[in-house]
Amino acid sequence: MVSVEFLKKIALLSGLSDDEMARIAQVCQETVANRGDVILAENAPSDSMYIIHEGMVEVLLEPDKVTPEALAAPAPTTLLALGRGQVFGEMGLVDSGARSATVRCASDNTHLFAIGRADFLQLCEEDTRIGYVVMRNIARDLSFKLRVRNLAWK
Amino acid sequence: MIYNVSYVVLGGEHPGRMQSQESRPQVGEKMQLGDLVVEIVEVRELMPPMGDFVYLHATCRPAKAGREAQG
Repeated sequence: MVSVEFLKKIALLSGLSDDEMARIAQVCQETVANRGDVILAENAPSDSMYIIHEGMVEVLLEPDKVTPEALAAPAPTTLLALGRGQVFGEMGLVDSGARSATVRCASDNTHLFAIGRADFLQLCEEDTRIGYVVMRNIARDLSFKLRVRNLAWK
Repeated sequence: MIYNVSYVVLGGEHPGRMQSQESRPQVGEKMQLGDLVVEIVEVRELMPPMGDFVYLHATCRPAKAGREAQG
């Protein structure tokens, strides 16, 4: 099981007590991926979010979602790499929409913790403080990513 | 403190990276981003810190070949 000490280093869980983090740890499922493994696919249904414990993943967009130049290139475009402590797949937990991008493992022996939507929402219903804190942090994480994206357009 | 850092490489060719780390990135520091060695040229705070978490944006440029990389 994921340790509370590790979870304390995850911004998404900032503000939770040790007991609350222990409840989160109970719904985390560890998974290991290797370079090239597709962890989630663009347009697939969303059912979980992931925390990167060790290793690296790449966020990819299929060609028809980016530029005309990309249309001529069959390979997907890498938007970003995510490393230790980062979270992905959280948009699907919030809006239940399809995956907006593909996430592929970029290094061997990448350790991830998955939190399923059903488990997460049940936990939020049972303990609304956990729900409030994590949802606030998800909003903050998405805000950070949006601010980074905005800078890229300058 | 935990530093949530977005690394962006000037020129737009490199996708950049986001990661959490326990040391603050410094201007002039060199690091490995994928197969590229880069040098940090600017670090700015994107949002106010919250608890132990600091949100930073680091702008990088490719480092000259032959220099030592860290990280």
